Amino acid sequence: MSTHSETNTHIGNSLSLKRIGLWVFILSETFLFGALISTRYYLQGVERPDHLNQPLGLVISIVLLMSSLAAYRGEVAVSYNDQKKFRINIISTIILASIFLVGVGWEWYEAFQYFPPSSAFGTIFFTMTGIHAFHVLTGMIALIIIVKMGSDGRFNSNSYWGVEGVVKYWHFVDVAWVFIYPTLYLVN
Amino acid sequence: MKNNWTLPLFSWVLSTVILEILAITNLHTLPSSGSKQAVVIDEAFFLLIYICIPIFTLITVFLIYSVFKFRSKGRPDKDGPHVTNSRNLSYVWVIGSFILVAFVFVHPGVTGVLELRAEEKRVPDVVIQAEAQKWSWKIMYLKEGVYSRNEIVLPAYYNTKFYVTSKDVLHAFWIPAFRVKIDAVPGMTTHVNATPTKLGNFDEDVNYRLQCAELCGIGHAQMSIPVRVLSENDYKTWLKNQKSLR
Amino acid sequence: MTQLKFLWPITRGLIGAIIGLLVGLGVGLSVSSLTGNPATEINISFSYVFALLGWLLGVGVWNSWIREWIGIKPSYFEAKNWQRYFGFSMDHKVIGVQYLVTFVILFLLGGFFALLMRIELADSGEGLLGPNYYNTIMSLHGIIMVAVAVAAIIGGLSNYVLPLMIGAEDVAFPRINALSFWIIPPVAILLILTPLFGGFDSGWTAYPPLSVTNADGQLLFLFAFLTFGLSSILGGLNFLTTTICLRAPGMTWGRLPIFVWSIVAASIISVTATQVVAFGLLMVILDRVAGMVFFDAGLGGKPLLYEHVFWFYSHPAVYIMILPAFGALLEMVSHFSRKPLFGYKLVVASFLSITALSFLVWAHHLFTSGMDEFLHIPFMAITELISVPTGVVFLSALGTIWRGKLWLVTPMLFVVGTVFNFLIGGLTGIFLADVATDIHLQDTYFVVAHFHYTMMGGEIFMLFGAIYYWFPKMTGRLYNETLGRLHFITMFLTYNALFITMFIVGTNGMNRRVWTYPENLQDGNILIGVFSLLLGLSFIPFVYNMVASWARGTVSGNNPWGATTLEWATDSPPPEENFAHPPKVDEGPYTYGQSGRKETQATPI
Ligand code: HEA
Ligand code: HEA
Ligand code: CUA
Ligand SMILES: [Cu+2]
Repeated sequence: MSTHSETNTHIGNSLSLKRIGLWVFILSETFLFGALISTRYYLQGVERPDHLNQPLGLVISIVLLMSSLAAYRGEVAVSYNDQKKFRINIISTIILASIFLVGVGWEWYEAFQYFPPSSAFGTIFFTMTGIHAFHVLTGMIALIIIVKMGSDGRFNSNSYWGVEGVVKYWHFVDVAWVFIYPTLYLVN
Repeated sequence: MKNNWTLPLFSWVLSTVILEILAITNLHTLPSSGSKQAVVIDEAFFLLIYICIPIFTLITVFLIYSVFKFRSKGRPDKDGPHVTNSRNLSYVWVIGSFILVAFVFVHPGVTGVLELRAEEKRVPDVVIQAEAQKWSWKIMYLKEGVYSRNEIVLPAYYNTKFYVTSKDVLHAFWIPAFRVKIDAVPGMTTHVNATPTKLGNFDEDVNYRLQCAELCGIGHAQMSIPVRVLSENDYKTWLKNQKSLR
Repeated sequence: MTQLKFLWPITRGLIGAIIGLLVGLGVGLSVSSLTGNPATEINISFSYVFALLGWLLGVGVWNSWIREWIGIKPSYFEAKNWQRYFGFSMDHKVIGVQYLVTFVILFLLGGFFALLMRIELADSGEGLLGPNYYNTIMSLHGIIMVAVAVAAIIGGLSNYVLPLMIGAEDVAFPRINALSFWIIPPVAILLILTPLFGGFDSGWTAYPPLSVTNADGQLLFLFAFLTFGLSSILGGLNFLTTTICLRAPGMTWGRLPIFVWSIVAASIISVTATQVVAFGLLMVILDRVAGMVFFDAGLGGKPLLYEHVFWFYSHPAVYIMILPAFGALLEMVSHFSRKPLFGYKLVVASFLSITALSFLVWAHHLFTSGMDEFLHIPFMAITELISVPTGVVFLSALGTIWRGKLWLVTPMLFVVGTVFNFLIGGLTGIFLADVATDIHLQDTYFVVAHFHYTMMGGEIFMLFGAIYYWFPKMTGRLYNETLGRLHFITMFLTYNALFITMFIVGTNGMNRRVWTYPENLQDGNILIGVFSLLLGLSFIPFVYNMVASWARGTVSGNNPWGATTLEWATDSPPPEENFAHPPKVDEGPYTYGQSGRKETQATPI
């Protein structure tokens, strides 16, 4: 294999590098959620207790989906260099996410009475919502960081990988919920 | 070119024949066989050995041959030929190994499974429940109402079905002389069949023992009890004695 | 004091770990007093998580991010020479060596545990360890060796050579690369500490309910395995991204050296399957710490769940181990036969099909577990099918050697030995894939011998071969050839004697994970014990050779093997930016025998 000296133009630039890295990471996480969902069916089949708070479950699902929308609008805003709209949208994403987490906390509080972690459905329920909530939490921290970085003027329409990466991750977390919600609340 | 092939091919055939003969006449590594199931399993085992020998010798002979034939003293001063592929050889190899795999899968694979299952589907003559608990076995002859903790007694030639359960952690029900093995899983009842084909007992042959085969903690190694296979009459007497003991 | 500056990161890491430990203990105590759950387990969990974070923080993994955040100029101290191997570095070459040395030491430690086991087993009754220690030592041996097999080639060798082979300056995410190394020491420390917490007697598989109910040492094991999984995921992510994005101009997918392909295939498995085992371990942790009931049959749990989840990872994991070994094997076969790799494309295809198939065979570990019977035949079929792509590796190796110009130096000897060993390992896999024979062989020493033949005879042999092969690259010096050959011959002979005997003992009815066994098997076991002591001795020339040659071996020149792949085109050892002149590639990796090949400027050996 012969070598010449030439300028080092790698096939990938640093942006595609980060993008691919993120996709690989998301692929990896898919397997975690896949295992979670299969476990639910393996342990409990399609059984579902009566005491699930259906309205609450529906509400927080909608809240989470709305947060994804807001995140998307935030990303579009920054790509047009609209810093103010960017900040508003990402902050509303964070607020919606916190509402979601409060909702999950409320459900946990109720669940403790009907199906505590030491019951079969409780085990599933707390693990699935817990692992998902952990992802929401990390996503929120990342969102807070990009808000701060945005206000330091670190993003503009040419360079906003931070926003893009976090928002992609956020969409992934939401999509995961789209699969978790029916497995917990709807199947029967 | 032609010379290159004849010697290794010849040695392949020769070594295969020698190893096969050795295997057929001299291989006694399995424990004594004491059940119908053992016959099926042993046949499969030996068949696989006979199938694997030519594969093993093919690769080993060619490997050793090429190492000696093509080695260069010290650093090679020239390159070998620029051969990157041989389509025909690749086809032969891939299709050949696929056919071999298919063969192995059907026989002894599927046939072995089916033979074992046929035995399981028959209505059992004797039903025994074996309950495992750290680190002991409880053997229950449910119909007869007899329990035993320190040995299993079985009638010869009778198809016996074992239902296996566990009260705490995973264990496994394994009788080496019968070759049968199944895990004892808490919350489940697993089952396995064995039809003893000859009399035997632990004192004469250590393979007549019920050995726990799934790690279950400190006592795992010692979680075994003797197995005794009796003739039908002896077995009935034994049952009667056990009953009167209770 | 200034001379010791290079020890700063580790010292800071330890201080960070201790602070973290104390904080975690505090949090743990408050949580356990609030919830009234078992205190020790909760304390261990919190202490460990915080100590891990403290350690990483102290070592400097997040230094520049944190500095950036609070507004100080990012800077990090990097020592020079040999000293940098003790500190935090983001250079893949340094990390590679750090990985390699760590895992060779762990290998020797695992082997030392194996020797302890063999001494116990030399007596059919009670020997050195007895029931109380045997299981813990056995489990430690298993998990340490599995970690070595999973990470030594990928984390060590491929970290070093993969970027060089594709002409990159570094891996895609150097900081993550460093992170994935620096979470290894806590894993090792946790494992070594387990005996202080009552040990763990569950084997490396840690099947519940046993692993839910036994001593606290089990929890340390679970966290160690979980952390190791994290490292493995991050490593896989890095290698995949590196290969996808950082290939030098002209380095098309069809020109990748085969070793790179094998790392790609293995990395696909490690980024995906590892998540699943992480979840499995997490379930056991939750059962222990949070009182959940995944595996408590009395309350609706199912112990079999764990077995499925565990093997969904751990079967593919055996291919994480063996694929890089195949890659290294075929790489060396080509260079030392002075012939292009035979059937390059076919081999790539077979690597990828092994990757795909490896996800579909896990239940062959469960033939006797009581799972649904209809699963037996399909899983037997797919398991046996995997020998077709595996067989291609043998075709390629033999096809390359055939009519080549063999250069039988130590690495090539290891290649030949590995082909032989793995053939036995693979063929005995077929006995286990067959449902009927597996019913007898499952959980006997036949299985133990099978996986030592594949893992040690395949993977570890190749690890050593590859260490010899790339030693001049890493150090710029030649190892001592005579000692290398001595190592190979003693290791090969004693190894085979040892594990062949194990097959015989195993078929004879010796079950695994026992410290006492029927007396009629004692002779075989004594033989095994003797061979394993001899095998242990065979590593003395290796260790001596490595240390002495690194310190004062003959200078090797850049390309002592006259090999054609890119990593040999730069200096040995490579400069910090890998290539003084960024490379451009216009040929495939194996140009041997091509008319007009410019003999790579090689230094005579
Ligand atoms: C590097 C590690 C590695 C590798 C590569 C393999 C490869 C294989 N393994 Fe192994 N295995 C382990 C490591 C490995 N294994 C470990 C660690 C365990 C036990 C874990 C534990 O319980 O603790 C285990 C256990 C294990 C079991 C479960 C045993 C039991 O507990 O009951 C089974 C059953 O099917 C099995 C099968 C196979 C098969 C079919 C292959 C195949 O990939 C082999 C394919 C190769 C060949 C077949 C040879 C070459 C092919 C040809 C020359 C073509 C022609 C050949 C034919 C037509 C046959 N293995
Ligand atoms: C890569 C993987 C690997 C490797 C290389 C080895 C290497 C060896 N293994 Fe291991 N083994 C496993 C992976 C591996 N093993 C696994 C996964 C298990 C299953 C565990 C379980 O069931 O859960 C197992 C189980 C296992 C058992 C079964 C235990 C049981 O079921 O009860 C036995 C028994 O003999 C054994 C023996 C050996 C021996 C003699 C070696 C030898 O080859 C070792 C040779 C090396 C040395 C002898 C080291 C020499 C060095 C020194 C003497 C210097 C001392 C150094 C220091 C103190 C730092 N192993
Ligand atoms: Cu019971 Cu092992
Ligand atoms: Cu497997």
